[in-house]
Amino acid sequence: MTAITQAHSATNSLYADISDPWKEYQKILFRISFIFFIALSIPNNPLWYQHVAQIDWTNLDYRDLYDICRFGSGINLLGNTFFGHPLLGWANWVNTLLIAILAGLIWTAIAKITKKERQEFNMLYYWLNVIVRYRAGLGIIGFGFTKLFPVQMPYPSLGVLDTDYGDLTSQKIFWLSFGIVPWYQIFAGVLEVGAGTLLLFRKTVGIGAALLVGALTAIVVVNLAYDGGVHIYSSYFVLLGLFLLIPYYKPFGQLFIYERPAQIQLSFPHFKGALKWLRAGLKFWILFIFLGVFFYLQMIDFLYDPYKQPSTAGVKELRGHYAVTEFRLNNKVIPLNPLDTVRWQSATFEKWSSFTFKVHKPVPLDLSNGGGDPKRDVNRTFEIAGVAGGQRAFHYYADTLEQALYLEDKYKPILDQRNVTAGAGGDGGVRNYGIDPENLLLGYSGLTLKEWIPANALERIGEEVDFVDPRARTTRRKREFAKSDELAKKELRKRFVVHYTLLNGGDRVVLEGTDEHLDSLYVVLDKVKKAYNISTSLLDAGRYH
Amino acid sequence: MATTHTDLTGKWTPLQKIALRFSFLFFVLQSFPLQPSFYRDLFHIKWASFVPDIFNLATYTPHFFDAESTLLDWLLIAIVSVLGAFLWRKTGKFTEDTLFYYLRVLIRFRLAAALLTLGFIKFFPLFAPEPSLSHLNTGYGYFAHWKHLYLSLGVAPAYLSFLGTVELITAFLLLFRKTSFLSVVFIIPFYGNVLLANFAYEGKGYVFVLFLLSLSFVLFLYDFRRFISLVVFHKQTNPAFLNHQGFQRIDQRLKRSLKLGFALLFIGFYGGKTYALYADGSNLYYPQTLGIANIEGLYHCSLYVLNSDTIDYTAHHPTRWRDVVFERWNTLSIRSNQPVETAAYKGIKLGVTDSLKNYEYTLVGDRHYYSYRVDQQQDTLFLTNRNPNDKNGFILHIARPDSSTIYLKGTDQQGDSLTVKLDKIDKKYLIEEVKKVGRSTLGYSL
Repeated sequence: MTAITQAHSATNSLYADISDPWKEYQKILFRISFIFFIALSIPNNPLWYQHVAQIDWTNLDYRDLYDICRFGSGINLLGNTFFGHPLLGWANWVNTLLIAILAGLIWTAIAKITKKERQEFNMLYYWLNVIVRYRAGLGIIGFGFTKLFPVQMPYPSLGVLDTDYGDLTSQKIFWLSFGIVPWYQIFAGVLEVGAGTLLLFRKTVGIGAALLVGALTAIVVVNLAYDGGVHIYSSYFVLLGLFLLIPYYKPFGQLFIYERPAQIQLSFPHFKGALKWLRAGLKFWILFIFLGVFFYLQMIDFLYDPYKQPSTAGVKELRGHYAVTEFRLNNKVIPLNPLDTVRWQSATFEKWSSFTFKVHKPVPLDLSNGGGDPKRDVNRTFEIAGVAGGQRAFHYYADTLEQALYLEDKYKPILDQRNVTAGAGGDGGVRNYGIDPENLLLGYSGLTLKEWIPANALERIGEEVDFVDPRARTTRRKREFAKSDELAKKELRKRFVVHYTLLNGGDRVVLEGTDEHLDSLYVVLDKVKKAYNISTSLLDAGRYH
Repeated sequence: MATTHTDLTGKWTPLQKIALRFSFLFFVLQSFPLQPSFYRDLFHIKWASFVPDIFNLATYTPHFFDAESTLLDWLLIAIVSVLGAFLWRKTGKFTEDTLFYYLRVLIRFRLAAALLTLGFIKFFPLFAPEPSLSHLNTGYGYFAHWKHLYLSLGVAPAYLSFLGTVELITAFLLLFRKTSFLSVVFIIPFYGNVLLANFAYEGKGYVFVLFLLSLSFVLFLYDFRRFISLVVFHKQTNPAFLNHQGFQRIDQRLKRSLKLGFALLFIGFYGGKTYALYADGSNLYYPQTLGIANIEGLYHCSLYVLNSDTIDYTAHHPTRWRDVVFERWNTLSIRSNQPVETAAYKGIKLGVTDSLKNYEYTLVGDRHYYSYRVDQQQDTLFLTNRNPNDKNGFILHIARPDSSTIYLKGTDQQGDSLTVKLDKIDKKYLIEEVKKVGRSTLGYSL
């Protein structure tokens, strides 16, 4: 009876010694899979290697570890299209698969010709599984920590709360629908980190891989349905998970569906002596760094420098929603008319260093995910990504002594490439089509970078790199800020300067200055209380005291 | 109660016997309705409202204390079941294994009925409606959390279909004993997620979700030990009953005809009717009465005369209209500075008459919603406020000189006279423009 013969002698199968030879098709499939999955599990972008080599391990940033875990893979010698078709982004996989099939068949041919063919690949299969398990586990842990400390999907800013629902992209709607429930986001993070951790231990691979496949299949569908942009990277984990479950399909079916005795057939090597210690040591360090240290770093990020929103506190007295009671441009009063294309309709000062106002006019939009890894407040564009309705957002530096605000537009026509080391499959950001580079400078009649903030004000304002808690002043942040002046020179931004006056105990704010077209500006803002029904966040990221 | 039988003894300890009897009573009381309202609804099923009727019956749970089930009902049923378990002396001609088998059959079909009804209205995306035009013109912060969940599902029908597909497949697998465990392995994480979403978004339907989870857990626990033994410990594992039947089963022909009847009802009729609803564009949430032809859109209020005072557009006037949205159906909503006392949502009861369809105005502020009725000559609107917290209403004469201008002139309930001019705005909604071409292609200006 098959029940008896299938069960091998050792019931304690962790040390099973499966000496049955593999069938021919299994060997060929294995050779192809070996090449395919190794190619998909190691980084294919030289930038990644360079990046990792430069990490300062004495002053880590959560993003350093995240970037280790998130990389593009696959063979892109043939480019990222399949005979010219990008296949929604999956062309890279198809190309890798074809190369792997070719290489696998060549390998088979060589083995047969030289008559050195192995009868079974149990050990090699074990190592392939180890590589895939660690790739998938660490990758999903990297993804999961930014949810476990809810920073991946931030709670909406005041500007977004004031935006009409129809002025958002569906991608933005989905991201925000997670942002408004931080505890639910934490649950998702626990699930992802948990599934990843389970993959690192032999006994729990089955459960970890099943959770991974389930959770990430849903994420793939979400990304396709909401145009989220991360469908390739999510489906990557589904593929790895399905591969890791291969030894489990048949026994599961046998036991539960066909109701016959079954056993998972997997062989594990038995490490002895120095190798045993080496293995224990490596495992310990991996868990220590990617679970322990990562947890700490992400916590610091959540508390002091949440990566998608500006980390600098805004001027306390200014925070809130405002109606625009009076608006004068070049000393001419423009009355309130919701169809006017110049007059501001409403304004907000965020709890961080951003100011927004709405005008009834089509404005250039940032339709990216608003993510990535920028450290400068002005480049953290989550609050404008996917948001229309004529809203513009400005990052400001405040000189509280002189009561002056130095504002710069958070929108820039040529977006930075995000997740540079993620390569193919990473969300490289959305480029803004239809913009003619020559015309870019035509709108910029305003202040240049040099004219913008006078030297004495700069001294009072201080260095933005130090605006965060000392624990968050990571080497990565310092490096970016060291280059920021050079980068700022190349950026095309609209800038303007206003002086603010607080009246009526802060209920009225008067702004006087010059706008980005060097026209004089006089605006009277009155604070309004919005009767929002949305529950306030129970868990706030960042420190904005 | 979940000790499995990995060997051939089939012995039940006294504790396990009590647990089994408790569970049997508990789930029978939860699943078979004891309240007259259920039977009233059952005998009033109409083909026209077949989908909401079956939905309401299949998602029925006992509610002795209130209109909806609460955990108090569970406590009551649990107490009765505990008492019953101790009083139950003889098992009659059924062995424990057979009793357990019938319990699992009951559970499987109760669960499958619920999943099929929930699944079809997600697969044909009727479960969450697309946002109304008024919703598209409402500030994000004015929606309560529960509304945000529905809106976010409504904008992506493809995702809703995916969720429905998962429910339908797992329901189908539950119809067969051998694939039930596989089904439950998917149902528990799926509905665990639904439960947490319910808590996170402050919904009220968590008792029903807990009920479905409790049903799934029984099936899961039955095979739990075997599952762990196989998948975690990699041991050779035997099925529940090796080499023998284990329990008395239902006669094959009876089983087949019952299953066929079940499938015909829930898959054939219910599924088919759901498809029909979806195909002809009806939805379960918005009023079905059509509004004035070709009036749908967003209008800016350019002229507002209250009691012969012309009030200019200003940020601070308490009642001046800012904009008005006319829906395809007979609702219009007005945005002004007048505060809205938001109406609470009492839960999903599908298929009710138009006046009870409250989805569009509950759990959202920023706009005042009025349903209107037009008189015979087609020139007077009778507006009633849909929000029960607001008793305001209007009687207005309507004039439409062209397709983008509307004049309204009349009085409100306090006797104030009102004249307004509405100009249509050709509003492009980012959410729709992006869907047409995708984010990467749309680029920028809107």
